[in-house]
Order: sequence, then structure tokens, then C-alpha cells
Amino acid sequence: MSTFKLLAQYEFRALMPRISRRNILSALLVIAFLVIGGAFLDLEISNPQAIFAAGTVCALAISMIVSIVHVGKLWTSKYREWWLTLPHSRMLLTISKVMGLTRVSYWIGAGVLLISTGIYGLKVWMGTIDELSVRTLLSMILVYILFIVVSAPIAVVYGISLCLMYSGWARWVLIPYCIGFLLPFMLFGIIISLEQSDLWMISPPYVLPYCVWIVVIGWPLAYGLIRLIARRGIRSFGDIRILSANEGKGNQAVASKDRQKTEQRIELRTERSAEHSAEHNGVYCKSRGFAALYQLDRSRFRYYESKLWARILVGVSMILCVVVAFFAAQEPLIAYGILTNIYMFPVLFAVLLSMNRALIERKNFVWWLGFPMHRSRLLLSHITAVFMVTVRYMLSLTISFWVGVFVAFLVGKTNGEFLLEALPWNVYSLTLNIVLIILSLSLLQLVYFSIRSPLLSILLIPLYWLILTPNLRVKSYFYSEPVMGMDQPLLWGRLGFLVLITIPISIFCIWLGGRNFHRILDNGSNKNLSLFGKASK
Amino acid sequence: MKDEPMLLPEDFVVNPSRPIYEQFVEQITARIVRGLLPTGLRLPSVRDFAAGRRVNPTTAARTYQELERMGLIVTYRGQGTFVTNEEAMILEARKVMAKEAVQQFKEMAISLGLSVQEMIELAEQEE
Amino acid sequence: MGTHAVISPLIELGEEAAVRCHEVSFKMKKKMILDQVSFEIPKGSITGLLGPNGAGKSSLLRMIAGLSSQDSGTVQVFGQPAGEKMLGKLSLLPDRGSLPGWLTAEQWLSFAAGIYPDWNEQSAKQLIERLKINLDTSISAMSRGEEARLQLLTCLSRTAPLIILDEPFTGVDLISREQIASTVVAEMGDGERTFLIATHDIREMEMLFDRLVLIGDGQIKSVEDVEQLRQHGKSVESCYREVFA
Repeated sequence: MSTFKLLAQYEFRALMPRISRRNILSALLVIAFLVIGGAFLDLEISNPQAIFAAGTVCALAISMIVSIVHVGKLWTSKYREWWLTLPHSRMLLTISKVMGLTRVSYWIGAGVLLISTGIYGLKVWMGTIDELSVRTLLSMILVYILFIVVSAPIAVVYGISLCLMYSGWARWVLIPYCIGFLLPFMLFGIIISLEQSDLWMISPPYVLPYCVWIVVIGWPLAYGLIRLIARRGIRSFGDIRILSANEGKGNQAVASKDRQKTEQRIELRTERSAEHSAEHNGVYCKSRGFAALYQLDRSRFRYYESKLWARILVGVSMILCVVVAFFAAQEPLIAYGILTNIYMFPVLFAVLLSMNRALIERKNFVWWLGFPMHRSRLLLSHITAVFMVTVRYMLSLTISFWVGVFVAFLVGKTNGEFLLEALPWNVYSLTLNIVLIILSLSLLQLVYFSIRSPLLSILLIPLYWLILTPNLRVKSYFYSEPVMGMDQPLLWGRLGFLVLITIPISIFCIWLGGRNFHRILDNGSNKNLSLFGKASK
Repeated sequence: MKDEPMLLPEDFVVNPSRPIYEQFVEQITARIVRGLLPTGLRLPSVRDFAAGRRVNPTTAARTYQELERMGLIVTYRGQGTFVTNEEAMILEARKVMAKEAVQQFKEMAISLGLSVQEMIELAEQEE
Repeated sequence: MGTHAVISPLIELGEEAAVRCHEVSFKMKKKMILDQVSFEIPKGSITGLLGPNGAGKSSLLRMIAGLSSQDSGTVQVFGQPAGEKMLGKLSLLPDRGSLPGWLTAEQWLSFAAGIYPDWNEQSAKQLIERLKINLDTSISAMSRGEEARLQLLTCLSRTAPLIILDEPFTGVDLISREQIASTVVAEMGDGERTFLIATHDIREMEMLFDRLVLIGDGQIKSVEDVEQLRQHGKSVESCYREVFA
């Protein structure tokens, strides 16, 4: 039994740093930021219950993400082999990991509830929300604590079950898995936009039965998953076939065949390029200097774009877009909703990609920094590459949208008036999002400046928050919401203003980031360099 | 390519605590004297020699310098470096080697407390 | 440790110095990584930077390459202060760095040819044969030895006069190590190139160094001329033991 306790303790400690004065201080600062930010967020929440419910769901989403990232990093973790060779049952290993992660989730839950309470308190003080009696408040908090206590293990198990989907046909399970992953986010959205009359759904008397259901149904399911993970999931961490695909240790048989080809290739090249020099350099890169660097950064994304699963994802999303557009053409309000939201995912994707650059490109950085060109060019090349990938995707979505609309037009389900109305909206939305991408990506380069001191890295948190949730601000400033519909005037003036301020801001950020880019090589805690840096070890 | 004699034996282990070029010179001299490296044989360039043996090019250069000073090899501008054709130099080197060997033998005898003659008789004694 | 006489102290090489460090100090998170480090490296030499783990070798090399900046002191490369501008004059083989894994060797070399202005295609071709690189293998599928050879190829196909190798032999198989060593020698180019090599693999490099800089705990313990060492009956290995054991 004590081994189990030790292991669980180890798993917990691996994820959560020890409590120290500095940690508490920075944690409190973060909490304070979030409380203030959350209180001023104009989400039209007039009901305190929604705050706590949303917070709870948020906490569960975070635990799920932490678990997923943890498992994802386990593949390349230094300690993986050591962990796998522990002379204990795989079941023990799995359960101890679940225990450790659950403990972390409880801390996260506590933190989030604290933030929710803070937001509630601040809003009451500001007068934007009704005050609850102390008894009601306490009972609500307790109920949500209970909810977190029973749901966190399930969220954790769901997260680590990712390790079951690594090979063969099990990869297809990823699709429903991803849908399940989106559940808490959808719940979050629903809760926030609940009407007054529907609030009973999240009131304490109803949450209690939810908890019971979770325990009765969810826990046995989770236990079953744990057994499955212990039996099959853990083995995948030691499977050489999968590991070598990741780490890439080649074998000799392939190597000798390649060598013959190489010798032939060298002969050919010697014949061909005896006269020419740079122009005939390789089949892949014919440019010099910055263009070559850009091609290099771009080639990384090209590689992943060419993978089957990426193509499937893009293809499916495009088809979905066509279908939805077909129906949207008949219903202007839906069309409005689509046009304003369609580019949200590409933008988010671009931002996440760039945020985690340090995580993804860690080992390549030292080579990049050795290229004989200005550091700001390195950053610019990266931004441009991410930008191109994203814009390409956005354009394909746009094309799909118009295909759907056009089909509806042909079939007679819509008329030319709609086309004339939707076009400028589309252009507006596309331009807006393109500018947003440029702005966000540029702002993200400030992260290298923040490496200079821990104080500066704390300032990153509101920056990240700002960049990750543009929709809330975008909707009100650029789309004159909450009034919806395409008969509103397009706010070109505001868009123009955005473009004007983006230019100097981007130039500044890239310049400042470039001057500090080399700091990323300095060892030590680079915990803020990636969004998930804290969850990894 | 395989028939070309090696400048130094493959398994020649260099003592890292002595100047390397000295050891190379000794070995190459011995091989020339023994005829393993025939007269007129073309030697690899300094660069190839150094790269093949994985030693500093300066070491290789000094080796050749020393051998040339001893008269055992000659460099013709534009053509390369060759083992000398002059038998006299090689015989001279052979004499030097013989003298050194005998000197060592004598020192060994003294350290054993025997005279040179006694040492030879001792060694040839039938069991 | 014993009293170890520094056989050749700081020589005023003047114009002949490829690298000159003068009282370089560097602190990180309250730990002194480099402490008043001073030494010189003459042009056309193969200098070894030796020292135990955590001695500050990598930090020092990065400083010379201009990737980090020191807190105090000066670092000069060919008479100019080290920094971004000198990146065109030197070639760094980083420790624990990876080339882009999604490319094949050939693709990477075509990019390198475009990115490095001093790329020499002839050298590249010769080195491909010499180092036995498979052009069609994807870099992520290469073994450690193979990737190490490809990284070296990338460094040496440039005409940069200063080549800095940071632990080029770590985890590399015997044959690859020998190929790397003999390639380093072959690429000296009659004293046109200077090599600065940080390594733990003293045996392999024993015969190649003509100069040593021994660094421990962020301080220069000793600077030696290898030929003089050997005249005194010491090998590089025994010198290392003397200083650090």
C-alpha cells in the first residue's frame, strides 16, 4: 500500500511545484488579475449561479487538458523508461497517476472556485449582480465543490485515455474522443448564455442529483477505462515501433538501400551542376537569404499539412462548411452567425501554434539562432509562415462557404439579394480576422522579452488572456453586437483604425522580440514560454 | 588500391605521452629500412596522411619535415613526396637503427648485471 | 589537484588571435557560470575546450558565437566583438540541437545553401561522400551518429574561418566518430580554418589538439600547448587528470 502512496505522491509532485512564498505570491497575483478581468468581462451574466457553474466546468476542462498534455509529453519524457520498468503492476502505475492528477485537479478546482467567488464578490460590490444570502452562497459553493470532487477523476481518466489511441484502428476513436473533449467548452458556453428561466438546471438542488449520477455511472466507467489503460495503454509507451516513429532511430537495412540511391544521386548532381552553382541547388529550395529561411519555416507546416489526418480534418471541415452554408443561405441570421464566427478556429489555431513555438521547436532554436541574419527576421519568417498556413485555411473555408451559397442559389433556395448582402460581410470578417492574426502573432513575440525577469513573465498572463479570447471584444467593438444581423452597417472605420495601430505595434513587437530572442537558450525555468509549460515535466 | 603499402601499420598504437611525430618518424624509418616502403614510393599528402591517421596536420607536416631532414624522403614541387631513391640514405638509417638497438641491448645487459657476451649465452642456453 | 604549472600563459597574439576572451563573467540565477575567463586562440589551430560537466563550456561557446551576451568582459572574434554580425564568420555545431526533423538530408542541404551566404557546394558534395550521408533519409529517422555527421557537414560546407564544435561526439558510434575526426583534420585547409572543440571524448581527440583550454567551475584552470606537453612526457589525458582529479 505504501508503494502506491509513494507513487501517487511522486506523480503529484511531478506536476505541482512546492508551495513557497514566491509561488503563493505569483499565484495570488494571477488570481487577482483573473478576478478583476472576469468581473469586468461584459458577459451579461446577471446571475451568480452561472459564475460558479461556469467556473466549475472551466476547472474540469483544465484538468482534462492537463491530463492530456501530461500523457502527450510522457512519450518523450526523460523519465518514461524509468517509470515503465518499475517492478509494480501496471494497474498500480495507472491508478497512482490518476490519483496524482486528481490531486492537481482539486487544487485547480479550488483555485477556480476562489476566482469565481472573487468575481462574484466584485460584481456584487459593483452592483451588477444580485446578492445572495450567505446560506445560499455557502450551499452553492459546497455543492459545486462536491461536483468537482466527483467529476475531476473522470475528467482526468478521460484525459489520460488518450494513450489508448496511438496506433492502428484505435486512432479512429480519436474522432469521438475529440467531440467528447469539446463537451466542457460547450457546456461553458451554454451556461453563460442561460436564460433566467432555465437557471434551475444549475441550481444546487439539481446539481446534487448530477453528482449522484456521475458517481453511479461515471465512476464505474472510469474504472473500466483505468483497467483498459493499465492493460493496453501503458504498453504503448514501451512499444518500440511507436517510439522509433517518434524518436526516429533508423535501421541499417533501410540505410544501405538509401546509400546506393545516394551514390547515384551524387553522380547525377556532379554531372548536372558542374557548370551551375547556386541556381541548381537541390530540388527544394531555390531561394537565398530571407526567402530561404521563410521556405524552411513554411516547409515545417507543409509537412504536417501533407499528413493524412490533416487532410481529412481540413476536408471534413470544408464539407461541413459547404453544407452549413447551404442552409445558411436561406436564413440570414445563421449566415451572419457563420460569417462572424467561421474564422475563429483558424485564428485560435494560429495563436496556439505560435504560443507553443518554444515547445515545438525547442531543439531547432539553436540552429536558427546560428543563421547569419537579424533575429527579427527569424521571428518575421515564423510569423509569416504561420500566417500563410492559417490564411490558406481561411480561404478554403471561405470558398467552401460560397460554394454552399452558390449551390443554394442555383437550386433556388436563395436570391441574389442575399449574395450582395453577405459578400461585404464576408470581406469585412475576413479582413478583420487577418488583421487580428497579424496583431496577435506580433504581440506573442514579446514573450522573448519577458524572459528577462520573472516579473515580466507574470505580465504575460493578461496578454495571453487577451490574445486567446478576442471574440468577446471583437463582437462588441467590430460587430456592433448585441444587435445581430446583416442589416447593420459595417464598421469599416473601426477596422481601419485597427489596421493603423497594428502596423506600428507589430513592428515594435517584432523588433523587441528579435533583440531578446537569444534568451530562450538560457536554461532555467522557461515556464511561461508555452501555454502548457506548467503542466509538463 | 589494396596493394599499395601502408605508410604505417594499421594497428600501430600511438603513445600519447610522447611527441607523436617522433613516433611516426621511428615507425616510418623502420618500414623504409625493412623495405616495406619501397624506394620511389609515392607518399600521401600531408593532409591525407593526417586525415587517415586522425592526427593534427602539424604533426603530419613535422613528420615529413623530419624524414626529409634525415634524407629518407624527398619532395618534388608539384609532384608530391616520395621515398628517396638513394640507397645510401637508407643504409645510413639502417645503421642508426642498428646502433640504437644495440645500445638498448647493452643497457639491458648492464641493468641485469651481465656483460653483452654473457647475456647472449644466457639466452641461448638449452633448457 | 597539486601544483600544476601553466606552461604557456596568455600569449599576446595580437592579430593572430581567432578568439580572444578577456575577463568574461556571466551569472545566471545567482550562480556564477563564467568567472573572469581569459584566454586566446590562435588562428589555424585545433583547440580543445575541456572540462567536467557544468564547467561552463557550452555557455562560453555560445558567447563566442554571439548567441548569448556576457555580463562583463570582452569577447572578440577575429578582432571584432562577438555578436550577431560575426555569425557569418563562424560556424557553430550546437550541443543537443536538432536539425529540422521533417526534412530529408538533401532538402535540408538545399535550404542551408540558400540561408548561409558562404555555402560552398563543392565542399558539400565532397563531404557527403566522405561522411557517407544518405541524402534520402528523413532527418528524424536518422540515427544519432548519422545526424551528427550531417550537422558537421552543415558546419563544414561553409567557408567560415572559425568552426566551433560543441560536444560533437556525444552518443555517436565509433565509426561515425572516426569519420568526424578525420573530416575535421581534412578540413583544416592549411591553417586557414580554426577549430574550437568542446568535448569529453579525450581519447578520440587526443591526437588532434594542438592547444588546450581547461575550464572548471567557470574558471580557466589552464591553457596548454599540446606539443610542449608531449615534450615533457605528458599526454592530454594525463594533463586533464592532473587538473581535475
